[in-house]
Amino acid sequence: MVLEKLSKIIADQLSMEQSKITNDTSLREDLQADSLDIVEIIMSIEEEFGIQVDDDDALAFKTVGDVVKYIKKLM
Amino acid sequence: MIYAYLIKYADLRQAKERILSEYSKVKGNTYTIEYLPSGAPQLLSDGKPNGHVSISHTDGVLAMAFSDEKVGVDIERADRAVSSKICKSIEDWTRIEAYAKWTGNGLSKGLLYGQMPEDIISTRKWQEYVISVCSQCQGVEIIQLC
Repeated sequence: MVLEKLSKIIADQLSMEQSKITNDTSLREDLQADSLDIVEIIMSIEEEFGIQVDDDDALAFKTVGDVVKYIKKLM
Repeated sequence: MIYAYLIKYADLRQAKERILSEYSKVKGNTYTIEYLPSGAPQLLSDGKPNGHVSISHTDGVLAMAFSDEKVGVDIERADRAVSSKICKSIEDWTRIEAYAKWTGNGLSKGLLYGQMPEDIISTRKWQEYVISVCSQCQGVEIIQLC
């Protein structure tokens, strides 16, 4: 459920197919997301899941799976 | 003085090397770049820190800004959309990013909503892009390489 909502957020931001996004997808390398993309995605995550993402934690996100784990911890 | 080199590229690594080689020629030194654990680039000559560099790339364009002082640069397409929750405009975003790189601390939410020292950030349009440079040095020279 979290992965589905998260991959929709990412797919919308990066104008790509949601089905291509999995837990192993890397944010910078596979998705070519830049800083602005990541900030936009984090803002959308905060709204969608009602959580606050810490700046230092956000820097550590390497894969979509990292973000899913983080969201689940805070929910 | 800040020297901001711009080049359209297909291969990012080659483009970086091309710009470094041009700058090395101009300064009469051989420069290399190493990356700190934070991801920030460090400019070296003869293996020792010598001057400063900041790197930004988007949409097949690479910008590298060199200076004797700390410097931050960001380049974006002028027509790129940015959510109003983040900042007012893409120009604003490039200013935030350039400043974040200048501090060496990277981006943080504090920067989005806090105060930035506007007098050390300059923003200009170049072709279909917008570029911001942050530095305490005065003067930015844009050099476009083919």
